[in-house]
Amino acid sequence: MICAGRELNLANAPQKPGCVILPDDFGATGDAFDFEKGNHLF
Amino acid sequence: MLIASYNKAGMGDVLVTMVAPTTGEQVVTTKDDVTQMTLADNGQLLGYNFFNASALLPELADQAAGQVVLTAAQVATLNDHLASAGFDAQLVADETPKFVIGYVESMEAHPKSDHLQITQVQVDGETLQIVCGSPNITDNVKVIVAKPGAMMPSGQVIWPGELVAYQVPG
Repeated sequence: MICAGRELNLANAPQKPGCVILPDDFGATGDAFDFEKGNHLF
Repeated sequence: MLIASYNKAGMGDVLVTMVAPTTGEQVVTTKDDVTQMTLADNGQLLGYNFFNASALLPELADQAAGQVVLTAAQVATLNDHLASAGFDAQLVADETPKFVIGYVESMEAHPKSDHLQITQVQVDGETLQIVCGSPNITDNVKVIVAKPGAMMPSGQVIWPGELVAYQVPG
């Protein structure tokens, strides 16, 4: 499943449909998603 | 596959573990403070509920509500408890991350939908086919992937097979 920010309860995530497009430098492909860092995406 | 969750405020001191999706009628067996769920038609293990879970795993007291990634040592503790309660089926630890960074390698329109895309998403050493209905999905971008074994904050569990919702006819 490709996740939306609101589905993951990320801080300030838009409450509308749309997956999270991560910045290229967020982390390497395959890395565990860092939820703490993710809370600063929006 | 081992999915565990703990929500003391919502469910009390209960560690819920799941190893397979419920696809039919369940048989529930309780011994001591453990409840086992199996499928009625074939006896397949679905999971266990551990009551008074913090007595077994005191570290759960600091656990935020939601999915718990159990370590091998914690699973060993649970298995010892299962054995002493008289259950044969054991749990197998799964510490691999379930929410990972994926790279959308390519995508194509779903032939049976006007809004779904069939994406090929690279994760750690494998490419997953994921059907996606997000209006902003595109290729050559990084996204967050909930892999099989992930539990969403809503409680929805991603089971194996759910990502591959469309198979190219062979």
